[in-house]
Amino acid sequence: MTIVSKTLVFLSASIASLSLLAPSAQAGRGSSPAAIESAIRSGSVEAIQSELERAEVLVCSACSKLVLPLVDHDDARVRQVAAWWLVRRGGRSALFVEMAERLGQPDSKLARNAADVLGEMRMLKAIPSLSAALNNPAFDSEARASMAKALGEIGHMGGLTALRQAMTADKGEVRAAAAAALRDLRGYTDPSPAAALLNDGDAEVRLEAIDSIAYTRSQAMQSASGNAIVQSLVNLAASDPDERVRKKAVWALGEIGAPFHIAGPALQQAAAGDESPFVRSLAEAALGRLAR
Amino acid sequence: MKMRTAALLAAGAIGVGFGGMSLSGCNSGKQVLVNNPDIPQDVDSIIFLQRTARQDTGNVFEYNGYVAGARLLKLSPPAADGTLTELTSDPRFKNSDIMAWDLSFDARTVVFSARLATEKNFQLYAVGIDGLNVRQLTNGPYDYVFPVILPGQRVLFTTNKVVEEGAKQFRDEYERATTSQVGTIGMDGKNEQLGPRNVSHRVSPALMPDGNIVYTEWRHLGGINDGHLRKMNTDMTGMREAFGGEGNGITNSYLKARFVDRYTTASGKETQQLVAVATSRDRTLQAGKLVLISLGDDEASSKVEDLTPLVPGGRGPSQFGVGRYYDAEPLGNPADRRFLVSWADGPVNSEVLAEAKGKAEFGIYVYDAKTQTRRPIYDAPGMWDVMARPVRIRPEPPITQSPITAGKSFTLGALNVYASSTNSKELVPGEAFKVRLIEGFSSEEGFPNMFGLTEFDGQSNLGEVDILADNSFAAHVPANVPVTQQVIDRFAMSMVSEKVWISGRAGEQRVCGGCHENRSQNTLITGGLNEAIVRGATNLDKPRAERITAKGTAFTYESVRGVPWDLALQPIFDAKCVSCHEGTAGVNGNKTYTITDMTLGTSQTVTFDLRGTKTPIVVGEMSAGYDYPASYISMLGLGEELGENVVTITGEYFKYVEPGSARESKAIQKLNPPQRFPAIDPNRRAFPGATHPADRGGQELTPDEYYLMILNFDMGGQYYFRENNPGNGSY
Repeated sequence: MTIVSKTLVFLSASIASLSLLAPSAQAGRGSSPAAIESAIRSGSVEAIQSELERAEVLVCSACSKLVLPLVDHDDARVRQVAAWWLVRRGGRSALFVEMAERLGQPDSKLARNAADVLGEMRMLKAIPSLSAALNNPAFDSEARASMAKALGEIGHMGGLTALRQAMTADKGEVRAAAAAALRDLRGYTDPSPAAALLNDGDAEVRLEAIDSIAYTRSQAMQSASGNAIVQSLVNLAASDPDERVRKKAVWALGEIGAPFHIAGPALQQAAAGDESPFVRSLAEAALGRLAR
Repeated sequence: MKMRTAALLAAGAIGVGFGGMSLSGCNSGKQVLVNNPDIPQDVDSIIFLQRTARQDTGNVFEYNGYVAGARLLKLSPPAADGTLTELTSDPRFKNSDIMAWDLSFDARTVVFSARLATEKNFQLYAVGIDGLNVRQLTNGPYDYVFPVILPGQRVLFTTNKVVEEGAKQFRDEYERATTSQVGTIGMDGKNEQLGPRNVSHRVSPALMPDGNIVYTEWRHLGGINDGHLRKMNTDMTGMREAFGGEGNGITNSYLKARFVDRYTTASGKETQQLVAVATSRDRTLQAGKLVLISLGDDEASSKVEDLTPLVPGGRGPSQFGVGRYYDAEPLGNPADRRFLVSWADGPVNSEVLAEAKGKAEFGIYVYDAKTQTRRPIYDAPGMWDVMARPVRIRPEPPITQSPITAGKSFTLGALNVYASSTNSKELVPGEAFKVRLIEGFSSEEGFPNMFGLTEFDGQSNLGEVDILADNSFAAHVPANVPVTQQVIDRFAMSMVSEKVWISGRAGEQRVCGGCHENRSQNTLITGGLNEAIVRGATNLDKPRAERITAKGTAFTYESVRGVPWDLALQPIFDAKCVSCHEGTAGVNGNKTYTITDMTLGTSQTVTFDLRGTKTPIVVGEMSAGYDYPASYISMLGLGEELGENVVTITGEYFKYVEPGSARESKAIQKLNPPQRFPAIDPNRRAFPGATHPADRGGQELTPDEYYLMILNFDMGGQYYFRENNPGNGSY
């Protein structure tokens, strides 16, 4: 801040003393409109990310005009940091309205980008429109996956209903994204919704379902579906054609502390005989984590 | 290729001779590979990591960027006629990325962090030095990075997995990236243990021969922002300062520290010399100067020597012939100051490189710090050849650990709170009554962006413990969570606030000599027995579920954790302040000022007003989108919120809260609270002069009301706390 007033010497002094603590990289300080413009012009994702971080407390209308188009950048990392920066600025209310309106139009790419911004804003009032868009088959899978991710970013359990519905979508990418978003919800401890996807025909969905079950750790075995989950994981560990799924399954059995009498034999078999050395080593390690 | 040619020419230009040897390719015919007389005779091979050149690892704390095409390679001998062996030739690693690796003490096993082409996270793997017996150690929707092999057949790593079941991992100081924290696991993938958490990142650990681990930690508490070197024990206990703070650093961040040598300080303490990369936090591709750090008796007496003075320490582009160093490993006799380094020529700066459509190309060199010259070893065009280390057996260090007791708490204490090398002026003997313990967190619990108008992280008061007759204290606090401490006086105001977050494991006991005592001296206790130990620690440890649960509206000294502005303080203003301070300028001391934001072309007039009226902010960084109660804006001011804007301010600017210090806050000085400890005494006041608002015929605040204001200001003057977390339903 540059202050043009002799009545504010004490204020500028306090700001100066702050900057003396770490002059080379005070978080959110040190940027300029020219630096932002230069970073954007360079096309470097990293330069844009770092410059906008340094511009956390920089205000300039011209900068907002420069950054706003980045919410439609091809690189998701740029979209994310642009949204992060914009939601700290004045005009975030207008930004919210604009992004929410995008969820009601038919262009999937615009809707995807809007979801990224709304997720970064983390405003609960976006949940209804994101929920509706998530389960709107008019949008393509990528856009709907972004809706699910945004609900996870917001993190409120109010998004659970829409995510559960999306787990029945006909597109695997949507089901997988919905399963992944579960573990971003604050207070998510019941793995039952994810358990329903363990036998999904799409390996990517099974992977995300396993991760979301394992994310609950000991809570999984305390849920009503605990033993059923273990049995499903045992089956996946033994016979899933995808090596990645078998790896996840054996690891997850240890992560949730599955009962040895159910999971032990399957893990021993995997540790001894699976064709993948990765499955074998993860199964061997998981054996020591089973509940006995 | 132009960049590479220029690099080699530049290397010659600064005296990096090729010794009359010809540049000859070894396997692909592309790489630069020459004999190098600087390699010690006992080094018959090196292992290094080859990654596809990239642009996305500028920030020193970025740890999970993925670009396909990495390999772990062994070059034997490290010379022109050496043979390259790929240790990651298993087809499962095709198109993977590898971010770091380490070699076992017997030089037979490599542990590395890789993200497979078909997966989403970096995991730990182990493979024999012959490339056989590959196995996976970790899995899950988490990244496991920076593996370091520990004594006892274990591996240290950093990860974004959360040690606290049911919690979300912290976001960093920008409330943007997910932080990485330490953990360990057996070489067989068994017995994973996750370590205590920092509010921001922990990265780049390395093992030293004495069993200590040195690592880089981003420190963020209020105005503190820097990446320092810290140390901890093998078992992730005893986290403590090493280098970078207390005024002896030369850049913002230090990382990739590696042991160089032992040495003895003037006081007789055996300590270490380290080589590390010193750099700005961003844009430098995690590269920078090489510095030799001599750890002293304490952080303040540590010294640093710039081994590459021409290399910029900031984030600007480096010159041709100067470049930047990605990492360094000491070679041979430490006195010779030779290092196996990764170095790239030219402007190693992500922005400049992107503008030129180029990429930095790190190659492997031997750097002689005495002559400041480099000799090339290996450099493949289009690739980063980094983290080269000799293949050799090394002694297994001892396992270092702190005493661990039964129980789930972390025990914090001090033998004598007045023992301080930095705060002796503030810590007036006899004036410290309690120590306040505060838990830290960030926005992952559902908070929007920031917690209010100041730079402070989220905070929650765990409680206060007595300072005993011998000036000691001890408290049980939650394990694995960041905690900061404040020594508080008889008025319940902080006399000294710790500037960093600390954390410890379950059962760990951390009893300091004092409050930043002189690390080169012993703290003496009288009688040989410490009272805090005799009495036992006060228990401030509560289960997470209880800590994060909103406490309603009963804010008392005994129960208060957070001090949400709207719920805890506004009722006080409404009851006892707004009859005078209701926004009418010029009466009842209501000052007024107008900020004209020339950057935005807006202006805002603020008149002292303690009502809860929502007031939109129209100047500074939160303009046209944020509002706070008039009371909050009046008390905190808009100074920090104005950021770097050009503003003019007419009238008499005011703010009545100094974030982080109730004692320095004009509001508290005006209110003039009474003594709180050892017993409430209205006749003894914190400051000379009158007590407000009684001096104007108003009703005095109750002791708990004073306390709530003090606690809020000491904890950073924020608006949001867990009790009014908008992510729970109002945002």
